[in-house]
Amino acid sequence: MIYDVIILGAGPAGLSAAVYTTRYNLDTLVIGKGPGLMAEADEICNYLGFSSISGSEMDSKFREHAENLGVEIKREEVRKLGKDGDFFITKTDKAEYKSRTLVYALGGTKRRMPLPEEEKFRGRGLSYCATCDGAFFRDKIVAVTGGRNSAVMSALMLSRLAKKVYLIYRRDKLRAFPSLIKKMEENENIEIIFNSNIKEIKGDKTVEKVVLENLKTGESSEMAVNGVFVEFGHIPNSDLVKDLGVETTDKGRINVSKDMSTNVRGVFAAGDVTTGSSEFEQVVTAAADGAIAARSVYKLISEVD
Amino acid sequence: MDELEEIRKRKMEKLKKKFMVVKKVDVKIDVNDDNFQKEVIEKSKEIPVVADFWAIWCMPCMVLGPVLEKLAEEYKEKFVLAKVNVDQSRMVSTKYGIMSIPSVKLFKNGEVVDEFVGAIPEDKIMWWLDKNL
Repeated sequence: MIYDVIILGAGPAGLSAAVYTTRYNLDTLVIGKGPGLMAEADEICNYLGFSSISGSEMDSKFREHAENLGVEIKREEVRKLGKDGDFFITKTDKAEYKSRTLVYALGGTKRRMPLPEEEKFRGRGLSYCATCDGAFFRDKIVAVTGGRNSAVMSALMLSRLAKKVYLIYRRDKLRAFPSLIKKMEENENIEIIFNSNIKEIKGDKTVEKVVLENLKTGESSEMAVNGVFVEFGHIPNSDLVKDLGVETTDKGRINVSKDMSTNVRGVFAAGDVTTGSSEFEQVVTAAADGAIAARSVYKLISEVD
Repeated sequence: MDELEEIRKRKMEKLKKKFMVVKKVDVKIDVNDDNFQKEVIEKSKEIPVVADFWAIWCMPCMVLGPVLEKLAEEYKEKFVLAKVNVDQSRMVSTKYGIMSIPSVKLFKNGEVVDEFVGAIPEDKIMWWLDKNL
């Protein structure tokens, strides 16, 4: 079987693309190993029609919508992309698929804590998912690192469980939505430490202390914490698409035009992995990217036929 | 008499079905604080037990869970999968120092012999199983 379009990624960008390609009557296959970063969000409050919904619920709703339209979703991991004449070949951990076009929407992976002791403490107090692991830190002391929306949201979520939350940020001003910052500032459980970085994590078997470095004064100090939640943003999952000759920025984002096309004919991209929607990284912009990419796929295919 | 025969037949079918279901559950069992000792510790003295610590609110757990369940079917009789819902297993979770989920521990003879954290890909899990079983 040769699909008109294979959509790589089953997050908001990929599933929105699938809804539209199905509307255009294109033979569509979605390949995505599972919920992406959206599904880990404690709360999504800015998607029109949902004043407050958890990321996991939103993920189920999106999937349900696509599946109700008859979209086929394979829970497989994409391993390699290639070409066979005019067709694109997608190799997964299970099988190989052929398509006329691709929509690449694999999102991002959370950036790791750049410390040598990362491996030792991962799963032992060092976490990348506040919604997953917050419950293990009831009445404990935790630190969140980062200063964007995801960091502030994690701090807010953790403040409902932990005794004390420190938000550690290297700059002197947070880069989150003002409404979130205000909510956090009103929260007595959260203390913000500016101009600082975690230089080292210490502990026998689990996290016990962090060594902070003040980036302005150069001074170091130790602080007792039971957990560290890393929110350093994400790295675009664009490695696989490079084999097709698709261009990315030096930060790894796929360069897309307004119609979500890349420099390679037949390859489109959408969502957080791209330079689209001025890199806003919102569910609504990812979904919009996906819709636009689907329309471009349709245009290209009807041109050829 | 025909009627009696009919009833007997139906009963037998029902029982058969029941036993088939029981057999299926055998490769995978739900575990909590109350039955952890019996279903994981004691059981691991007969057959290796893979304990999957998970929760409904953990998205990566939802990715890993079905993969482990599928592998449990494929590796039938080589190990038993114990699904440990951390919400119902707080004591056990604390005892085994669970601080991040999904967290998977392999028990043999009542002891943890290997473990991993996070939703790792299927081939890596198979490698981990083959190395340990």
